[in-house]
Amino acid sequence: MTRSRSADARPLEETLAPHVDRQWVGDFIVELRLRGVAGEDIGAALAEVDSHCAESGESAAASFGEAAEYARSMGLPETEQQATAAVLRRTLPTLVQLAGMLAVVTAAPALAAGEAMTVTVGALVSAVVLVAVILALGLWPEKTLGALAGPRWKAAVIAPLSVALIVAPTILVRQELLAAPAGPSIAVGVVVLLAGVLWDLILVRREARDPEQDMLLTPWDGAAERDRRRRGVAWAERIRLLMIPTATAVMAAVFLLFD
Amino acid sequence: MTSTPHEPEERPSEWPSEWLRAVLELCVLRILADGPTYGYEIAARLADEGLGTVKGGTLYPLLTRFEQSGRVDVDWRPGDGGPGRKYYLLTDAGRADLAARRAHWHQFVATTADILAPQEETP
Repeated sequence: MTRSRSADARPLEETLAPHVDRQWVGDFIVELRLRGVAGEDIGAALAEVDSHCAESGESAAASFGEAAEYARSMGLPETEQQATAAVLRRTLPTLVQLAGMLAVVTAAPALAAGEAMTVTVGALVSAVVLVAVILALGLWPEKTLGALAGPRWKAAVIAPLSVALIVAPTILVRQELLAAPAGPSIAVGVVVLLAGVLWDLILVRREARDPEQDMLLTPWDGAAERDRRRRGVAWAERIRLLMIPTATAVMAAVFLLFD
Repeated sequence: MTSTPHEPEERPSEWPSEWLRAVLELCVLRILADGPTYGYEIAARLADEGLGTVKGGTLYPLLTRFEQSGRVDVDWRPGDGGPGRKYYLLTDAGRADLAARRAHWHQFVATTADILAPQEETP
């Protein structure tokens, strides 16, 4: 199927199901993505809703009810992507990057002050909690990220609470666990960080070459649309890959320049 | 809609939802036995036959269950002018399921009809 150039500028929700309310489509996609349903299964379900709404002239809400509830009632299967092993494989490079980042941002202020880097018990506990949070988000997105959906106040309460839970040990338990020279610690941190990025990059490239790559597509989307969506995913991945190194560089620069 | 003599004069527009739940799968299988068709047309036929409005939120999950259990195959066909349609084709497994459950349903209807028969005046 061909799509006009102007169609490409439309939001994803409208490209997928032009006859359905955008908010409804968004809620439907979020619910199924949180449940780990494959992009093509989501696209097919949406195409059918769109077809029904176009022919009946009814809104999706009138015919199908609430989007998330309808999404759950479809009983669509979880992809292999959501299997524990697959999630761990995807998440490990991020954890390695985080380890490098923590080493760099812990050692940078020490280097600026001309002291040795110290790691406190609290910092270690914080790191463990952070890893647990990241793994929980990856393994049980529906129970974790899903809890943030719905009324705004929930996200407004839960998100800062989670951050507080991660940071609190560092602030409260300042007992020293180990000390190391700052300069070499930064060097090790940078190497670990870069190794994590490289590992991630290898996974991303392998995924991008996979013809079965999971993408949100309707049965009407041909090769051209698939390529376009694939390029979009590749860009998003590149930006994601740059996030931790950039954050690390900014924080280290702030510590070194303004301490 | 064809009118048959034994039909009541006026059909209710809404049947009790628990009755519909019991019989909807069977009726949809029967409609599919007439040939490949798509969701909206199935809903329209059910309405025409007098079963009332069956919401998309009820019909499509049911069709998805048929698909997952191999009772139907699906075929996406581009629509002329409008959006494309997902056609459902009854498989042999679906046909067998229909035959078995239809016979079963008729027994059930006969049984309940016997129970519900008006009391005869005893001589």
